[in-house]
Amino acid sequence: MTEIDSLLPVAAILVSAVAVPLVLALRHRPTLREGVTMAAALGKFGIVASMVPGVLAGDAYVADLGTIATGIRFTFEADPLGVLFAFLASGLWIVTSLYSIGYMRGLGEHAQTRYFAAFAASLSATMGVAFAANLLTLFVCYELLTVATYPLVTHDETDEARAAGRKYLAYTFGGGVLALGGTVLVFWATGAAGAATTAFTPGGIADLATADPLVARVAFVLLIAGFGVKAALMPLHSWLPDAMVAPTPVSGLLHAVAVVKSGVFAIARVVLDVFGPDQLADLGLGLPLAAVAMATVLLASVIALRQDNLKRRLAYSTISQLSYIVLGLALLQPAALVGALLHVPAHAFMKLTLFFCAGAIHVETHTDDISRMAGIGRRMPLTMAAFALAAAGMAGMPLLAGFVSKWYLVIGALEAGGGIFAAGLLLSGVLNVAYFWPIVYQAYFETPDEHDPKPVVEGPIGGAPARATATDEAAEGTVADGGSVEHDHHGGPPPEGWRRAGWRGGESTWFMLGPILATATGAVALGIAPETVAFLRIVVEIVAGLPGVVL
Amino acid sequence: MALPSVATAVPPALLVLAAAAVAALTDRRTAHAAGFLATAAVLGWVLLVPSGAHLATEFLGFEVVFFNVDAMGRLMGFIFALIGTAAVLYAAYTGARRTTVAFALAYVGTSLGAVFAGDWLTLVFFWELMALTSTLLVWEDGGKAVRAGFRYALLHGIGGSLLMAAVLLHYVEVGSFLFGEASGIAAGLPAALAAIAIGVNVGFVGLHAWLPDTYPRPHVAASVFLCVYTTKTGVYAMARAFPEGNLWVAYMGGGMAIYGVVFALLQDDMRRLLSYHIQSQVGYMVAGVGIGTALATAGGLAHVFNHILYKGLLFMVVGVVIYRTGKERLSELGGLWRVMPITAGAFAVAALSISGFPGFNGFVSKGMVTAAAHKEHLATLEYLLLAAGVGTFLSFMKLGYYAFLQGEVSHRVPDANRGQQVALLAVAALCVVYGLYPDPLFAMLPGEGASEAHPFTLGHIAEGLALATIALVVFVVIKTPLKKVPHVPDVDAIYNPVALYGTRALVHGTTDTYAAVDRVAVTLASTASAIAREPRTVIERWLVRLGRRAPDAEEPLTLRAGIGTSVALVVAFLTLVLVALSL
Repeated sequence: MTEIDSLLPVAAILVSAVAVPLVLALRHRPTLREGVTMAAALGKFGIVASMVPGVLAGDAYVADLGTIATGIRFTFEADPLGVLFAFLASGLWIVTSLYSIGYMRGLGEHAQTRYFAAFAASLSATMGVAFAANLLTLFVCYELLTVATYPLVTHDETDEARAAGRKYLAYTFGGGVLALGGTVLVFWATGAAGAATTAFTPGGIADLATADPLVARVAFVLLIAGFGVKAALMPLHSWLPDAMVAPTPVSGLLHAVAVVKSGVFAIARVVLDVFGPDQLADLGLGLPLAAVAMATVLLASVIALRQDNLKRRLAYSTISQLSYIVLGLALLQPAALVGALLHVPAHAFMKLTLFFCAGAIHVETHTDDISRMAGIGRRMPLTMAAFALAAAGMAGMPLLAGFVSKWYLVIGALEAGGGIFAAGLLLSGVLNVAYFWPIVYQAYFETPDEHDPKPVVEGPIGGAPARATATDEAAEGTVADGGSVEHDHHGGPPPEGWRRAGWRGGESTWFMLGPILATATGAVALGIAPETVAFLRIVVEIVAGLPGVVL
Repeated sequence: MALPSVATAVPPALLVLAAAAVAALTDRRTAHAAGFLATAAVLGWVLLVPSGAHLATEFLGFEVVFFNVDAMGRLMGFIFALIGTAAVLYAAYTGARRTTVAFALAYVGTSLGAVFAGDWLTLVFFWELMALTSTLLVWEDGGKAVRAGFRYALLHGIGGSLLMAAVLLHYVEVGSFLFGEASGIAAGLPAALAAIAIGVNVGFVGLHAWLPDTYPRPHVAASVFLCVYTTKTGVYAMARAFPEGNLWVAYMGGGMAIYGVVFALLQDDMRRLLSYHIQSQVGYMVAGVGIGTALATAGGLAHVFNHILYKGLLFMVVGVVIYRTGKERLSELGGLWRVMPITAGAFAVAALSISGFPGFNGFVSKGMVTAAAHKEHLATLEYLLLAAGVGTFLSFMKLGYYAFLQGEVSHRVPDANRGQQVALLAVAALCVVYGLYPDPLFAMLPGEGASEAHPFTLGHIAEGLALATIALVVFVVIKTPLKKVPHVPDVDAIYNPVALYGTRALVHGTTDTYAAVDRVAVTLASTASAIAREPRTVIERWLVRLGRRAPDAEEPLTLRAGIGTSVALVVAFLTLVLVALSL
């Protein structure tokens, strides 16, 4: 890989950082303020996209910003893995900004300036995470991401939001401390063996391979535990369902795309560029990580079956799907690595579509609970169609992105000799059908007067026609994993039933419908032609660049 | 006439899928017209396309053959397109909505994609899409069909996952997805998984209960489409997976034939009776594929062809009865031959075909499979198939008797309308033509098996007539006792409750355990922070609880240690640290 000195990575980071004071200054001119956000998003995406051809050709763009302390450099590098994440996050920021405009104005939300400013700052930090060239830079940007997203999580300023924000900080800063410990250990171990460094090297840092195995193992556990908080590995996941109290675009982009993806991205860096697949195989650390990931995949899907609140169900689905990526990384096989890294954009497009749909439903009908959404396909046909497509993709149906990554992941699991992991992945696909299909079928094929109880596991076999749900207060806020859920939104169909909105977009504003259809189309495009949409090529480039790996 | 080259480069599935898109966007008439034209065009394409036309390309980074025209594919494509045309015509005149026909066309399109696939990846791709589109077709009718469709989706999701596992295991062993690179599926675990996965679709005993659960529920026109494509694509996949046959599969086919027939005999709902018969007849096909000789495979595939014709006809006939009378159960019907002679006549043709009466198409292909079993000296299998033949006669005597012959019709019921009549009579005519003159069918069968088939020997005809006679006698004897047999539950009476209550227990167990763990963690955390912030209050509370201090004691608790105690504590702590470090 030839290294080119360039300030492009830094430019990508700073575009939205520069936008932050501009947004704050324009608090009284909302349209201009939104324009600044859009311009920053388009600019950022443009800068990252300009680096993609070079990266595919084998170059890497490096910006060295000097030394912090002895031997620790503050460097940003756009290599294939970094560009994968940055390309995804910056591209999706464009659609999310459009969606945010529709959402925030549709609900007449307060503190929109703070919201858009914090969003821009978060994306800055995300770019920093993507382009960090060593563990310390990664750690700094990682913590900055937490700080930048805190105002977004607590946006509502209710007690519930503040509690969720406190939990979020406690978990993520705690994780950060563990990650810092791991970083220090890596630095110390490499220093003991040769030149002290935490720089990312494809295939692993050479000196770490010769270090004391016990130290290496402890460092790995610390790093994975630290980054695993954001990657929502069980049992470190419980901040995520509570963070669903945030506005939906925040839940979508940050918690389904940027924040949690930065966690799995950091794990990918640790597995591929700090330790390397060969060393991890020697240390015997692949199997425990794969086991934890597999347990998360299945347990989170099981818990999702019981959630009535749509966003909580989506949160548990995210926890489950993120561990697909960690599982693929832990299997250390080329096909599994391809599947895992491809699942990063695949899941992002699909999950963002699902969250956008949930948000649109909330804005248009103030309905949050699945049990009140019977027949909503009449009221919001395009939205539910996008939901159905994305849900099919989550289950791994062909024509959608989820099928491609699942295909590679299962091949990788079978090649690694882990039949049980393959079985677990396939079982998870069936569980996805079990908790997504009821939402789809009740939207289109049932009515508010005639539907079976949801969640489906609470009802009798074969379903039973519902009594009117308005009287059934006890069914709300089903106790989930120890958290109690309060809703002050008593949505649901109006007394005369959902009004019929046609298929021409009369159901909602195009600020929201456009992004929904765009991300759904992206999910389909990734499913049919993953090379053409560049992602598969970048992923293959990453995996082929690991020394000793034959695709 | 040669086809233009674009026609040989584009899969026929796309034409039908395009028609589905048109159907979704326009009105009812255009939808049906588009469907009819598309399926007819595919019929023409199948007849004219040169053998060996294919489209090899790369998909998802793997080498695939998106479609490939060989003898087996051409046969399947032909019959799929033929029945599709008749079914669309029937749907147009039976009040099918445009969404029904749109989903049905999508289903037909994906099935065509599956049978023309040239590699396992493409097959799995279309297999899953078939499950999806058929689920939509079932759901579309609403009401009771919705939950049944969900059960159907879950079971087919499991089947699809097993097929994926089998195909990927095969890939890991063989290194390619192309059919040409290996003979069938790699032996061992991949083959076993493939058999079970395909078994879900064809209705292996134990995996079949979705057939009677799902097919009777949606619109009658939807049932006609549903009864054809999923199960027969399964037979095709079985033939691709086991080109040399497999004895377990053959005996399972025999078991399916008997099981289906026994349950069919006990049914009151007409479409449930027909659904169990699908399992039984597919059993013949699976037995043929399982025996594996040229004659057997040819017989199995010929049976696919003939079955599609007469089963489609049966569902159409029953659909007309339901459409006109509004009744679905035999116990509520009777005497219809007087008022619906054309429908009754079509029923007679279909019933004789499915039972294998000489002169109708079922006789030819059933005879081939049974003869193949006889040739390979598989006596048990042969007797199973013969017994199933008697049972088939029996159940259709029951259906015909109670629906058409016995009893008085309550009020004047109109016969099938013009469009329905065309569909019924066309398919019935084909049943008779292929029954008397099977040579065109034999020409389409792959392999050399057709040349070994001699359906019109005296022995075979005598066999057919004998089975019919035995069945007639048995029917007269058991007719009355049969009415008294109560409802017999099928395997889903076991696995549905187990699945629901088991999943519920698992979900509640997991969430409640996690809630308990979370409570403990939160209590620990808050206790720890309370001890750090205000140790005195915490210790006061503990002492009160232990009874060492009165709850309303006046004097405040003091936490002071003298020099001696302090030194002892420090030394103890340092000792612990030293011990820990030395480990």
